[in-house]
Amino acid sequence: MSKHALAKPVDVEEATSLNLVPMVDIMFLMLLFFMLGSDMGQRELEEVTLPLAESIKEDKGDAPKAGRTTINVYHDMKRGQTCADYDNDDKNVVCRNDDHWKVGIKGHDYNVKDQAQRDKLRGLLKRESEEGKSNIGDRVSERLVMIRADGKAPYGAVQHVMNLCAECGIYKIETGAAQPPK
Amino acid sequence: MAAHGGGGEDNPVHLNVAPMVDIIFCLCIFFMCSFHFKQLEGKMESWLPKDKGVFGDPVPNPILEEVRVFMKWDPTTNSTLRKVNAQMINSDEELGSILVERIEKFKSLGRPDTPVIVDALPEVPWKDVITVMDICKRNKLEKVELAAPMPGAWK
Repeated sequence: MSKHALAKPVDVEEATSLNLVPMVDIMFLMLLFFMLGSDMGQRELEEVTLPLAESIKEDKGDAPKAGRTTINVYHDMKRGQTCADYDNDDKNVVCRNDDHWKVGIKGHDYNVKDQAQRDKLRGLLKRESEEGKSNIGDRVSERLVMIRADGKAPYGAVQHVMNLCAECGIYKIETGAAQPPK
Repeated sequence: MAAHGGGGEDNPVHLNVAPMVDIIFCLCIFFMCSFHFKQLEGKMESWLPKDKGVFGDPVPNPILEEVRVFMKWDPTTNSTLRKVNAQMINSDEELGSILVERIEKFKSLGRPDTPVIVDALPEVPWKDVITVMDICKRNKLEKVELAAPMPGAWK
């Protein structure tokens, strides 16, 4: 019998047991980081690439007493389709297809070029405007509207939204912009 | 993942941490996949006029003594052309200095509330309009108006 055959068998369970405590600690830290860093709360914001501006005030999301409505002007394609102009990395190439630009409020999309949809949008803005009026019959509303328009959106799309706001008596308009990287 | 927590034989309470690790692992993967950094968003206040536009009477003749930034998209160069009144603008710095100079002139004439009117055609990209507004704000020109395009400005 060889020397090796007489050796004490290795305790398999002891050799493979892992100390999981450090791993659990690190995973907890990662979990905390991702939970605190993720942006889950703002459901009414669509994915837009905001234009850059240096002189912006930080938007803390605080609404006045009369409330605040967020309007998104964003590029939207049917699932599976792509837009070569919008996806172009050249910032000077702009998508001018009106059907691709949508106005989104509270999860609903509107195409402002379509008369029926524009009327629906006007109706919605009128209701929002009424909520910001202190007296029934007031011409203007104190309701605040934040327009978050994609930087590549044609100004005409934003103009439509501003015109509708003005028609509904909303004059407090804020435009969204992002801080340029330093 | 059959493993025990730390402590070994010294610890009388044995916890099976495997289910907890599994759940934390799933949560981690969920948050990692859905994660994107919060973008620092800001805003610019741009109140619409209460007494002009859709409620007011139409302006019969536009006042020529004003500071108006005309903006037009040029498809041949894929860029936005800008001019202040009749003067073509080539850079942001030039635009800023001309606007400040013109507004100062109006101030010296006793019209401190003269606004900068941004008059862009619908096909101009929004980012270029914001750039002009940003230049105004950076140069402490707080009164900025967005106007409906004046017909014939680019003829």
